Amino acid sequence: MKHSLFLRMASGDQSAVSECISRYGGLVWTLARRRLASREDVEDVVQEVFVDLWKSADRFDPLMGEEITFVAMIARRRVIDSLRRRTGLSQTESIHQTGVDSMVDPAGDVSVGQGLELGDDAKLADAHLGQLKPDEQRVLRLSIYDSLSHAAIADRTGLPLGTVKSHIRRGLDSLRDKLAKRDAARHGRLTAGGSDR
Amino acid sequence: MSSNHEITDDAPWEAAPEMASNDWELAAAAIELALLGRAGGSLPPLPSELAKRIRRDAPAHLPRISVIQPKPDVQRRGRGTAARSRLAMAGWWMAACLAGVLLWQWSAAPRIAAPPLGGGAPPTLAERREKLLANDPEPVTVAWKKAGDDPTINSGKDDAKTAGDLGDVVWSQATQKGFMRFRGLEANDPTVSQYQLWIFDAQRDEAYPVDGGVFDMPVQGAGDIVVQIDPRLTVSRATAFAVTVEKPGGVVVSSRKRLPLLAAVPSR
Repeated sequence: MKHSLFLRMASGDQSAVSECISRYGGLVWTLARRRLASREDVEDVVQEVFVDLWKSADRFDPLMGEEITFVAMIARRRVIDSLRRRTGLSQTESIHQTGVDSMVDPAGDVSVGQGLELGDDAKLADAHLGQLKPDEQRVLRLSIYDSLSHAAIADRTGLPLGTVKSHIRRGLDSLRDKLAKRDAARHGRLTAGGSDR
Repeated sequence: MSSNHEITDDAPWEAAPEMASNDWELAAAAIELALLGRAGGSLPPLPSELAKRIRRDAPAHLPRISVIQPKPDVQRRGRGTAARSRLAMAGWWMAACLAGVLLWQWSAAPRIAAPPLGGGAPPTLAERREKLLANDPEPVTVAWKKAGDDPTINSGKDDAKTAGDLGDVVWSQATQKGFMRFRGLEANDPTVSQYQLWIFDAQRDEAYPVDGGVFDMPVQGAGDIVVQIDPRLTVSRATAFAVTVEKPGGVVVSSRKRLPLLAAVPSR
């Protein structure tokens, strides 16, 4: 039986705590730094993310996704919470140095960074993005990667607000279905039936 | 560059609030990871001072299970009652076990996930168990007994370490907190099954024990496992504790097909 890092943490295995920090610290740090302006905010959020991870270690359900995706989800929540708490602050300049319009990559032209082991969920998501129309891909990117509001995306892209929302909804919905089908096939049962935790 | 309020005034999944946000959040996280990969580059390490701080604070926030190395004096150090209580309770247990199993037809206990520990200093669960034993004027201490031939118990045949000690339950009626210590309980695969605690209450119908939540057992070999008890419902007077093996997430109604451990509290 394979025990996940989170199960080991839930059982009080201190080596798993260190391993978790070592494995995901850089990711959490990067996700926070991408959006938050001050180092103090970034450090606060990173600490909050890990506290959430410790607290929810026994709630992690391997049927619902990969550990790295779970970590990224918790980090996204905390970063968004932090941004909401800090209205009025300026956006960090380090987020989009490449420019928004350069973000729509040609389908299949994936440049995976060195040392980035982002997992099967991310690979599936990448393939999913590659199958979307450029507009849909761009809207999802502006929403998820750049954290722009629906209105801001509509303003930037010139698309109607309703179209922006439907692109986001359909894009996430279809990826969710793909992830669920993949997990169901992998585990031999539907993910939704596994646990309520 | 957009202003900050543009960033924060809605989240992607708010376009469809009727959807389960967890699924969408996981999908969004997967997309962000994919786009992070497309951006290229390597992830910078966490600053060492921050990593140190996070590691230092972790024990205060980890869930309610901990592994402790075997300590022969663990129970004696409290109020000296544990070992004596186990012996005195053996007879009571036999009677209560039979009565409890026969009457056990509960059906409406709520499903409660194991809660995390709160903040504060980071004593281990073993230390907190000892503290409860030392500070509570009337701690309830009862030994686990096999309630059947469930394969989740290593005791029996040739495992000397569990032949006489499957662990125990320490419960504080005053604080409504307690700790379970396990020895020899098989590790479980949480994707297949989980252990679930039930607490029988003198003031409640025996058919409706209080759900004590689900928990997992890590790989054996490291020592005793201590699990915190933190029921969501008040237990007026605990009469027995039982552990069942259930599907992941626990159940509202147990089939009682797998009931490896029972600890009956002697009447006063």
